[in-house]
Amino acid sequence: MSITGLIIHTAPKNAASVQQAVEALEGTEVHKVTHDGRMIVTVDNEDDGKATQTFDAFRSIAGVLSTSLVYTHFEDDYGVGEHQS
Amino acid sequence: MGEPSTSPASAQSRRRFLANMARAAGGVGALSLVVGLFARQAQSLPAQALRPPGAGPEADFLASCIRCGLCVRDCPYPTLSLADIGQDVPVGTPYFVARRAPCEMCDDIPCVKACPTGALDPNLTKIDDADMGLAVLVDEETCLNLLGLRCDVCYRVCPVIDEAITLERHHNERTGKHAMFIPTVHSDKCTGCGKCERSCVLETAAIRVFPRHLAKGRIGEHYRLGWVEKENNGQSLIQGIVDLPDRMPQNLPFNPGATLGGKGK
Amino acid sequence: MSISRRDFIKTQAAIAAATAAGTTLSGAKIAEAQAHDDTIRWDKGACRFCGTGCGVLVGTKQGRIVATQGDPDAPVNKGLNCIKGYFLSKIMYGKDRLTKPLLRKTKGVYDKEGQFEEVSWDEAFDVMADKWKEAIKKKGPTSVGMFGSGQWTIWEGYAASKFMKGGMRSNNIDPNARHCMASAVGAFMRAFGIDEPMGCYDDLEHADVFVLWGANMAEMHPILWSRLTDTRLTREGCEVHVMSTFEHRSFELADNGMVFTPQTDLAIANYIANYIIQNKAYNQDFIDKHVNFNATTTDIGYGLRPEHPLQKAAKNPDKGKFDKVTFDEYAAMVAEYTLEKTSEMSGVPAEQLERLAKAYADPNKKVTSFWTMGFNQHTRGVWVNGLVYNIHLLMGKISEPGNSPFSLTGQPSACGTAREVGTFAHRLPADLVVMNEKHRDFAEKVWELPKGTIPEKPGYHAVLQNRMLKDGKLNAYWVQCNNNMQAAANMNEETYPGYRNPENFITVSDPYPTVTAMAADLILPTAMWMEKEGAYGNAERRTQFWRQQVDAPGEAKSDMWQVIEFSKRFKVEEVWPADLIALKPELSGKTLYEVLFRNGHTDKFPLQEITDNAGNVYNNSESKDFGFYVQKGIFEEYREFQWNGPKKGHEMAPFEAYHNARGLRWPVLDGQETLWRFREGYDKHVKSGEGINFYGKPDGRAAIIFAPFEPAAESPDKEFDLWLSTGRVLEHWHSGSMTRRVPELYRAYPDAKIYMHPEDAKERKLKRGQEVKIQTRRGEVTSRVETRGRNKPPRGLVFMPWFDAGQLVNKLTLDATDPLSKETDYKKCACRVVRA
Repeated sequence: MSITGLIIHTAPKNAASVQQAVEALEGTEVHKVTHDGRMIVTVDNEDDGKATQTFDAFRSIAGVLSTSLVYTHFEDDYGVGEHQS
Repeated sequence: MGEPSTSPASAQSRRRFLANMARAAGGVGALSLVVGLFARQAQSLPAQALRPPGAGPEADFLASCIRCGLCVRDCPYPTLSLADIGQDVPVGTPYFVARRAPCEMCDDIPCVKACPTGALDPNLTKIDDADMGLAVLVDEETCLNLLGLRCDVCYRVCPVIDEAITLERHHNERTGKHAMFIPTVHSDKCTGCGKCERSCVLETAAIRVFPRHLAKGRIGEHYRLGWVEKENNGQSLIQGIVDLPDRMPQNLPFNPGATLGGKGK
Repeated sequence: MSISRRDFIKTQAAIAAATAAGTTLSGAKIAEAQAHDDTIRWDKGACRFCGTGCGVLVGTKQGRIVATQGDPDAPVNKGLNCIKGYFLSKIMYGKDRLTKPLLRKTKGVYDKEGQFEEVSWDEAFDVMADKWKEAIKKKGPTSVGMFGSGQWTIWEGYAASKFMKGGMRSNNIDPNARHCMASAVGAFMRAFGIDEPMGCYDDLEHADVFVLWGANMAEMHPILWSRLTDTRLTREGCEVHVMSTFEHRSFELADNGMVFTPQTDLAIANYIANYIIQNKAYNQDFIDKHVNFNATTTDIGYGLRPEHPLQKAAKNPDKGKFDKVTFDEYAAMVAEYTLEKTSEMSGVPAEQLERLAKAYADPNKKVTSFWTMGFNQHTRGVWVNGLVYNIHLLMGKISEPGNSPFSLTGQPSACGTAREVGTFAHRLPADLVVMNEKHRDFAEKVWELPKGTIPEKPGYHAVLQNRMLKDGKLNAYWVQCNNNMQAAANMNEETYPGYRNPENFITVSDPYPTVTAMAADLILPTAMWMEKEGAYGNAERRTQFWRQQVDAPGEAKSDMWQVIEFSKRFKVEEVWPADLIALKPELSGKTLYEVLFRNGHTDKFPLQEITDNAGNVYNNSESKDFGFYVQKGIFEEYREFQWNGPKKGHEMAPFEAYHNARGLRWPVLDGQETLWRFREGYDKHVKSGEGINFYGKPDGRAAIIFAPFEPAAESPDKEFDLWLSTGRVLEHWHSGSMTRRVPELYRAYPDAKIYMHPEDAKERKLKRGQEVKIQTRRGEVTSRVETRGRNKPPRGLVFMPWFDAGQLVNKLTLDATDPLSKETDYKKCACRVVRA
């Protein structure tokens, strides 16, 4: 499991279209768009490979000025340190 | 937020992930990503970074620690590590994170013996006297024992059980027939080893060890606890005081059970 | 990974990003993400672990158990759980769940020395049935056997017992409850003629005095302990006495904590009886009306192999006979156990012993005694259980609220299945025994079998099964729902050689690849807990049902399905002699499935849709496979034993009643539960005016049975200079096959260690945390020394928990048993500890 919280910066006039494009990507969710064009986004993927593709995709969305990663959480879907015998 | 990873396997995954992240973001995102990462670590590390046994106040310790790493080498457990670049712990100094690997409180304290400069105080010969930090039950809303469940794992793993952590018993008003066992840390006995934080079964630990200056309150010098002072003094601090007898009804049968007021120690 | 946890993390991620952006998310948004997911279906069940029987609610979503909670209305636990119960939802989802049968093979065919390969159920049962038929043909029905469980559901135990005793005609079926409850059963039968405690958990709120004899309730019965503690806190004058061979967590609450020399509990109990008699504190009226006095045969050996020197030295090996004596004769027998002598033997200060005796002897104090493995796993376990009944009976402190000698259980259905259904080598359902012709006749009548089907001779008990496997007399063997390779004592010399004996074919059914499974020839993947409709009976006679909540993974099937399906492989001609079939010729040519299950009786309840009161529909995999409501058919047949059988007192309510109740305490008569048995007003079997009636005995009187102190089978000497006691820890349950697969519990207590007195460690130049070898005459185990923490052994004794498959402490333990109950003493043998 890979969950990331990040901020996407965009010009306020582009916010709506960017939000639409972001939400079209798998595993993403836009939690809030501020009036000055900052977008609170989470990316929820099965693994980091998919997450990587999603971040690539952010870059190619027209109107995205920058992205800031704030929070990452990664873990195997099985618990760690589990005893196996 | 992000817990320190709990096993090498997941630490590795995280590193791989971060590497991928950096690669993926590239261009416009790269700088802010990296800055974001460091900012996150800077926020989370200091309170969780504990010094080995025998380390004095941080300034003194930093002044005398020569970053030789011998204490880390002699630690028989994967507890101690040296701070790396990018961490908020001064580079090259030894520390541990309780949730990841607590101090096992070796009787012979090999880390202290290894220290060539006395940054880890050679006069520390009894591990029970160590003061690496102080455990604090930080979240009374999620601690299972405060909810009435019988977890008390933190208590049972405590190497100084019944002294550093005790279970205070309270009646569970909700069920009416169970007791609650409230884990209570005693700062004079807690060494800050971190076994309790390590073993807390919650997804985020409800009991944590912090450096003592972050964990401990202090009562004002202008006020003393009367009952403590009396006990220390062996008797009341003032003497020669007279207490006149109370007038009581004469005809009623004496009932020693019917005393007024509360009971207890 | 549960959805809710994912949502939680996501919310955290969103909040973090918002905080960094200097903005906040609306409360509703956060609340929505964290909100309780109302698509979870909740239904009632019982905890999978100990004998306390906490009620839980099980939350299922999309075919997976995603959460559990303590049932806030369950009378036992009122919504609480211990830390094992907190993680119930994770026990079924270990990543190494077995989902296909595995057979040892070389080049495509079965080979005992081969490697495990996945096979179909058909192939698995084909090979297995061949081996069973071969064994029966060569050596008769005593060459096949089964080792079951106090974790079997009621119908699983019943089906297995019926299959073995009524189908295979072998009494070689025994449960792992032999390791835990057999001594308790023996003492109940001897003293009262009927099994299981007369009281119930309500005693916890009614007693003035609690006495723990060899039970660490603080860790092993955590929820009952919180009830006991609450009474200690809130009841004026309540006191707690705790006895053990080492200081453990229950001592923390003790007003009178006593560490005694192993085995001297026999002397302490007799001293208390002596004190009561010397001070004429006994309840004369009660004794006159309700009690007989007896003395048991002594010098009975240690349940070892007959050629063992200790066995040869015994005058009356295995003799359980007890003879009537007068009160005065009884008084003279206990008179030997004076305060001075007992204090010297036990090492407990005289004033502490006297304080305990006074508590029992005070007519105004209600006393509840608790015990578990400290008493049962004891080479004189039946005796010592009985010695506590003696005390309670002398005082008449029994069968009423707060006055209760209470034998606790460690498994969720040690009572409900192993004992009540009678899956022991000598038992039949509802307290009947195979040795009694009338009992066999009755069982054969209910089961519609020809007279003489059930053999008269008790089968091999747990310890004997391993010996017979090793000796090649038991050749086809099936282990279900337990981990005996990790549990049975003296694994090196008995169990392992037995399993790997080339003459034998061993089948192990388990959800996980346990130590036992890995030692088998065939592993059958098993559905567990909520993956089947089930029923457990706890230590206070409470029977609890649950519906099948989820389907088992892959091809895993329940133990009951496996037994019933396997019975299809046998025609009566293959397992029964012709003269037996001749008594019921209509059975000829039929399979055991048709005889035992698809017989017009057991299968009389048709398939039905299983629903709860909210209208949710549940699966029932076994019933669907067999085409009738199996669980109901078996339970209702079992009730015929309870209601029409030769022994009264075990009556249960109809099947449906249990799906609509939070458990019912038997006997359930006229729609009412029974809380205290044998006492008028509480127990319907006691007639008006009788006051007390111990109706398990023909004369209605309970038996006080004197038994003396006799030494342990093995005590420390020069070569092996320490007592070794084994046991559990709160975090793990039994062999750890479930709890060690929960990462949080594993982290909380990862590996076993050996608890030792600091001076003993120092003397051996051992440091805390150091790796050591623990050696006995039977084997060696490596562990780490712990001189601090939860257990504080006295000098001369070490304690080691047995949950850790990486440190098999049963290589060390001695397979000496109580000669009467055949239960192993896991608490006493001699060891030494050296640097690794």
